[in-house]
Amino acid sequence: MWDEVKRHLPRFSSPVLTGVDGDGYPVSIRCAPELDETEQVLRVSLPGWIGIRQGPASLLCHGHNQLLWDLRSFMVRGTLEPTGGETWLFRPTRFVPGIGMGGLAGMVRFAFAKRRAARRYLQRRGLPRPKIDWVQLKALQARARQPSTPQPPE
Amino acid sequence: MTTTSIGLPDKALNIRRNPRVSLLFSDSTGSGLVDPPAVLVQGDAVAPDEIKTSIGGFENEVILVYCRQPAGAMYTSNPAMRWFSDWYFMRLEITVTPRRILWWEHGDISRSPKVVEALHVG
Repeated sequence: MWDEVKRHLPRFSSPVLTGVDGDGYPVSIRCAPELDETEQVLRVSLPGWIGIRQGPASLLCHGHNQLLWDLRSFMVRGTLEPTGGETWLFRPTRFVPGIGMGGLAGMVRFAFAKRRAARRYLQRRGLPRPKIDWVQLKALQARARQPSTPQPPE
Repeated sequence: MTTTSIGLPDKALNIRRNPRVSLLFSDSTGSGLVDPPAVLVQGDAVAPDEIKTSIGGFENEVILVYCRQPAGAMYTSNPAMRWFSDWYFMRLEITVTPRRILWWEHGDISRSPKVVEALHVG
């Protein structure tokens, strides 16, 4: 697990750290974690005003290009521990691969896994697989391609 | 309001166990926004167990998605892709009632945020 964190984390400049604040709500902030090879932990500097507490936490790495494509993401679950001052220790416990990990084969595995997850969701509720209105979706795609429709930024 | 697929139901399942959530808007890549603030919304969410497959009422938002992410149309491009990705279009609605909103001008999170307590919402 540490090897995966070490391999993939440097590709992301500002992962999102999420922990829990004093009111019990999740609080998220971008950070610049530093790898501590010896302890196999990440050191993160967090401002005092954030009010984050020791306990369960996650680190999300996510990115895409200007056309919301070339998606890549993963998450690391772990725990957050204070060390005094603004530096905290994030102790990873699980690497969770997301979209865009592992090339085309990884993408196919991802889609099949989510298709199976959807089937389980429906089976547990005794529901038939819903039909999708593809015609409507295709019509909306055609409207999106019309020149008068606002286009994404260059 | 946001949604998630029943193929990726963790958001909804987690909310049904614990409704406290946060949403961080901190990466404007592809949004068309220039110099936006970073915004963190903390709130209470509900995620009813009702699967939606209709676009009804959100046509403009779907068009905007396809404008901003044109390659997304590949998932509906032929029968094989539609079989492969139909789960993505089976959605669960998630509605968040804000309780606290924090924002950082210019996305500069090195400074303390401005904070609004949303005490009388919802």
